[in-house]
Amino acid sequence: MKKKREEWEKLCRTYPDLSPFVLLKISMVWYGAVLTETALDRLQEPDYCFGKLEPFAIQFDGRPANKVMPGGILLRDATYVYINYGETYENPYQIDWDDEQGEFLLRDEDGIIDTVDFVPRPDFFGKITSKGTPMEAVADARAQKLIFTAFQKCRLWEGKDQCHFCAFFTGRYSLGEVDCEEIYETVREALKEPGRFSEIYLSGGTDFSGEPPFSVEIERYIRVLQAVGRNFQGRFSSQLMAPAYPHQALKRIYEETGLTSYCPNIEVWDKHLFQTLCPGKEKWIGYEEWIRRTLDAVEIFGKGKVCTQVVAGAELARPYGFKTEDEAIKSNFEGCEFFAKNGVICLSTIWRPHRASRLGFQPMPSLSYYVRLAKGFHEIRKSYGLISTNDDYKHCGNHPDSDLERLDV
Amino acid sequence: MGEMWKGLELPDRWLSPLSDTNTKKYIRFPDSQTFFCPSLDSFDGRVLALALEEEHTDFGRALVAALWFDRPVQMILKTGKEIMGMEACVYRCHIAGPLFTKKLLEIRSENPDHDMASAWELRFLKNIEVKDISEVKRPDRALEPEWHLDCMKYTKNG
Repeated sequence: MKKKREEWEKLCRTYPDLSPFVLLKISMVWYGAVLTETALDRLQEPDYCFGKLEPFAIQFDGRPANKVMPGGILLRDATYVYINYGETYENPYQIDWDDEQGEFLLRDEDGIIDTVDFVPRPDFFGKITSKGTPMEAVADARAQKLIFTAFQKCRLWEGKDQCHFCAFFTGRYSLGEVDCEEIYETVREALKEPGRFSEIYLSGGTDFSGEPPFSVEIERYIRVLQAVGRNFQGRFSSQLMAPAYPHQALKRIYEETGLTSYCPNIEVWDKHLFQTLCPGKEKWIGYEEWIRRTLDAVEIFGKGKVCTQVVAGAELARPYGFKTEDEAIKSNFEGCEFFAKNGVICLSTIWRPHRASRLGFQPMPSLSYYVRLAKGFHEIRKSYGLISTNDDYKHCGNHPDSDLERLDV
Repeated sequence: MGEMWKGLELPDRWLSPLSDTNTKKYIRFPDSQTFFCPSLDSFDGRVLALALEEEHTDFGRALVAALWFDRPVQMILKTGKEIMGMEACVYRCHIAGPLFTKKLLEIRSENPDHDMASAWELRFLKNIEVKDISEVKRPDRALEPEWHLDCMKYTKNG
């Protein structure tokens, strides 16, 4: 069994210019982490206790029924680490609670690596909307990001056209379409907590309904963003993660709401793999059109305000993926460079195989693959003067490459 | 990384000048960049904390580099003609939670229009001798404003 600390320290020596925290994050996501009973008990207390209802509702079998899962992990530099609590890992890190020190400790098989913390419980959790819905079912939270899921199911699953790596909405709880008034009220409540949020993030499962396709979804996002916007004067720091919409539709969204950033995720850069792994996106929009619309969006939102992401590792998944990591890296760097050249920020996120997804649970690419990818993506974007203020360590935390931007001018 | 996590007690002699409003406070990084640091204080006699107004600045980058690469900084206090110096480690960046909120409310109590990107926790390592304080600067400004959403909220009074 690999010694995680030794491996991480070796990475720090190999990449002395990269943040040790980002390298640790990649390792933690790669190996996974489990919470001791003591840690999980501490996380049930009011300062950390998260909601029982998760808007993105992924199915996990290994979660104790009587305990609430916590928010994400914060390393000492505030790097965010998202762990699939309840997944069964082969050789995970362990997170414990030290009552004497009053701190959570990250351990491997040989001892303590560092102290960690968790995203604190937002004050609006536990409150209910005027219609009686728990606000924790309406919004999720990270350290600085308020997350809304406008449509809590994905219609691509109806025809088995869902993305092959996706396990969203496989849990039991779903509100379907969320209510705009409840969103307005939840934002209003969330803003009462000083300095708690600096970005609103809106997404949802794909809904191709309407004529032309996606018109129902576009109208829904406009309504939701307008409801959010009733809490602000003018534009507010926000991001919409949604399919690649035609220019005119996107212009309407921008002009009729306070939205500042847009993120149509390509998921996989290689054309053939995109068509295979994202059959719904291919069927309803198509690879070339997805890219064309993403570039067009820069005209509306501005350079660096349009993002896209690859689910890094899915391009290597069996049975369709690249045969070698070098081929996959080359393809991803090509995609990142293409987008950067056109003012679009292309980010990588770490693919964690889910048993409930079509690709199922299978080995991930190597740890070093993810380190090379984070380093390369960061360097490519930097060379084009791009910095991702909407998808950085604070406002997202899913992207090791943008975590590295904190030293960039 | 794991060696530093316990930190050291802050010697008593620092507590009084830290809480004295006439004390001038500075932070000096290993590359000699020295910044004014008026928000530095200690609320429990152990942890030192400062407020960083904006992150995408020379000050913000210096703090990140000090934390990432375990580079001790110098904290300098000047009260009248007396100069005190310590070496400290930049221990933790807070973007939410009790220490973050405490520093933010301090900043806003001085001026309700002020905001803060993050709070930084430092830990005492050792006393040092500091002879002079020169070329002190104020942080540059971020290219984009780094506001929290509650600063932008709509009120009937505009």
